[in-house]
Amino acid sequence: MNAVLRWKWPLLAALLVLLPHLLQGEYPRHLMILAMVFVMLAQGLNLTMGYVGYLPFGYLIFFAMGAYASALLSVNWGQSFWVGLAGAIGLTGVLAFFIGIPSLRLRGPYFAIVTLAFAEIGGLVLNNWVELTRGPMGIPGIPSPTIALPGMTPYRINGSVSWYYLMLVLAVLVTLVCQRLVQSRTGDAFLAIRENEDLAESVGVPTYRYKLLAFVVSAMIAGVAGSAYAHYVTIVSPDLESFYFVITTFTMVIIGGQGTLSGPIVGAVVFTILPELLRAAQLWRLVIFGVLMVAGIVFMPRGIVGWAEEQWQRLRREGRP
Amino acid sequence: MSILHLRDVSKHFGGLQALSHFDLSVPQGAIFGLIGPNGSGKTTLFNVITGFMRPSAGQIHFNEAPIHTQPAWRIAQLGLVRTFQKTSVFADLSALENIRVGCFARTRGTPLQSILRLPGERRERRAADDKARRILALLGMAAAESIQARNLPYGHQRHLEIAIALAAEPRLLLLDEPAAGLNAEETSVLMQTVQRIRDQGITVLVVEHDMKLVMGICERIAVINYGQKIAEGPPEEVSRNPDVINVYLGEDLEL
Amino acid sequence: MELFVTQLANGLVIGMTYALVAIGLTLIYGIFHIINMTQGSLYMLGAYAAYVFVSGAQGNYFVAIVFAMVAVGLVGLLFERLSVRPLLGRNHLVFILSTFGLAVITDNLVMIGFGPEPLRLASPIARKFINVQDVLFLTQQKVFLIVFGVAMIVLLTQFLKRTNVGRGMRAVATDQNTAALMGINVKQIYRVTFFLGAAMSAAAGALVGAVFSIEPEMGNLLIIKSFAVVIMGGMGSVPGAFLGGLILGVSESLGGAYLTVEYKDAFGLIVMILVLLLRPQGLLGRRMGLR
Repeated sequence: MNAVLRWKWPLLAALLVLLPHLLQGEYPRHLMILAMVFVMLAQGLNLTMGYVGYLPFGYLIFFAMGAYASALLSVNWGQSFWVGLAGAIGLTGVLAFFIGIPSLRLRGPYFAIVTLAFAEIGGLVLNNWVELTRGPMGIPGIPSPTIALPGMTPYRINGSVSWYYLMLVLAVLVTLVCQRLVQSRTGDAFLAIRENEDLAESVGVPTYRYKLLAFVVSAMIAGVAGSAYAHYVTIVSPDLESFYFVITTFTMVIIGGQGTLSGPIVGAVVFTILPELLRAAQLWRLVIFGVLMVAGIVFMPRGIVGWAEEQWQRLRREGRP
Repeated sequence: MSILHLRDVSKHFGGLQALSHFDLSVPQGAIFGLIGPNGSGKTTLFNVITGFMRPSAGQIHFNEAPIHTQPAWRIAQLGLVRTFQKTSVFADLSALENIRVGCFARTRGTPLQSILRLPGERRERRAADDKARRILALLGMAAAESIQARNLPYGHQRHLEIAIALAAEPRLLLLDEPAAGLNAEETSVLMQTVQRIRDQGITVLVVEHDMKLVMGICERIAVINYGQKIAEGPPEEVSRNPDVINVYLGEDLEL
Repeated sequence: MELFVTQLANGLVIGMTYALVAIGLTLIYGIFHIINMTQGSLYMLGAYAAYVFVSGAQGNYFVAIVFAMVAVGLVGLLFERLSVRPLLGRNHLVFILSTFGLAVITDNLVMIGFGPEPLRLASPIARKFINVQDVLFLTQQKVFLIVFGVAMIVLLTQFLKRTNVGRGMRAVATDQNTAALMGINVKQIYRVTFFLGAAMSAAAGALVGAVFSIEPEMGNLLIIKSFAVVIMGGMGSVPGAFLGGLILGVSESLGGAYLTVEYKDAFGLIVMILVLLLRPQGLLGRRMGLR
């Protein structure tokens, strides 16, 4: 047991690298790619919801905006995936900054509702600014990314194995950024805001600035996920901020474990695979997610990871009398 | 030499005058008491000094620098740190993490440095952990390091509050009714703690309802009623003041 | 002129539905500081309950409205039991998520049961017109909707003012602990409030369902718009919700006719954002309490 624990990181890394070769067939690989997208989305949401304790209910608009920015840059203006990715990060960051400035003056449910209102307005723009977004039809034909380094023939990301690796790298990078942020002075400020905003302010934490920082980083992460997802599925449409994505992402974070780094990962992987195992139709899937979300909030407020930690602590106490 | 200076400070909420033309000078290195009946404006005064509310009129200087237009977090970083009347800790964080948040004001690591994991940022964080452990040891709570604040006994929680404030390295510490809810024994421990804090060179301004505590440790006391200062001076003098006796009529001054 | 008057009347019809749905939100928020995201789904359920009663059981449309209010009121009780009661004492944000989860469940179960395509809720007065001075042609259904809505709101305000339970609701809104000490049954207040909120939404659904068509997603945008109404009118204010609803309905209708059809749904959202940022106590109200 102890040996397993000591080697857990190399073992996990090896598993993640070998995974597409262990899984036979396109469909399981497709699921793993989707899981990576959701890992990013969930990590971003968790930063504001789990660590800072503010509920950005309109969060998925940043996923959609990132996807559209990337799609437009590559389809309309012929730019590469990498420019699209940078554009997605830039646009979502700027949007979140300007949405956050007024919204973060509000506390509690008001903040949640105002971000939802901004998201609905964003959705209306995506649907109605037809000259730019083609409205509900969406933008098809988004090209695959190409990796071109000097002195190397350009490598085209094509097929499920190379897509898996690209998404894996992005998801790991996003998780690393989150990890380093929350395990630092910045993370102390985030947690302090979640636990007691007045007390945080009274010991010198500029709470408003740190809320804004978390919100902007959350949005940029959603932008990365949106950009990568857009190039993977090759089409974007206003559906990207539909209830399906909203409930899926929120359920993943809640059930996985808010305010932990592994919670969103566990949540994303479990809830990408579980509906497939159940072979549930789309509508039933939403019903199931709804049930799990309510049940998770009621019965498992700290999520799978929080629950597992408690069990682990208890086992250790009982093992060592 | 006064560390905190209020000149003609007023605060009103709509038509309600919570503070009117309040003057106050807290001498450096003192334990200064502020007393007054419930609703007299003590907490409003605290909120105005610490930047949680803006004064409607008047000036507040801390170490000669004006602070009445500064946000609360900046005032804290300047070295003026408060505690709260109701027990205020970071309930879901461990005792150590609680105090580490207090170190925020005295550390500099930026988010970008955190993301890049620069060595300076790592060092600073280890130093903050060490400092938090030292403060815990000082309060005799070293064993509670990894216990969630919500699971600590009430007396420890109140100590933890002060520990968080101390980690911010204040030059002036404002304690808002620190003895509320403590029994006699815990109160006397608290009095010793406050004196130890002062002996380290930190000026203390304490708002208190508990007369014994105020009279016992404060060198100087100001009395507030209906938002106005009605008396100020050494404890013996204040307790003989007829206006003060009038305000506290029916309450046992026990001197 | 004709266009203006017609749009004004349509705006009042839409506004009345906003008002009825917003009343549930404002009551529940005003009393318990809980945001009930199921309010839009309850509105949709009201329309489907009336539909089942009329088309399935061949019942009378007017009885169907009452049936919908009672049946959906009971669903509101169930929702309270499932997503609110177990979470009392927790951070208030969890209620947004738990009720949102229930809303998603409800909408999709209806989608599975009835299919996504719009259905027609038949009312005997849906095609009977009233001719006002040759300027305005209104269906009797629309007139009935407005009259019924006003009656509901008057009844509700009287209920809050004159009955013991209503007074209890206002006491809990002011201070839950004191109210409990005074012997008010707070659990009962929860039940009554959620029942009333659900019944009001259901009435709106059953009424407007016969003006337009009904579909499982009809409550989606409504929940956030009703929230805008509540913010405009002031949290906890029933007259505020009424007035705010009418103002939003009319401005959407007129704005849709004269300014922009595409973005008329954004009006309420923009007003709400502005109100929250500039005047958080609402346009009409104090911040707390219940009226």
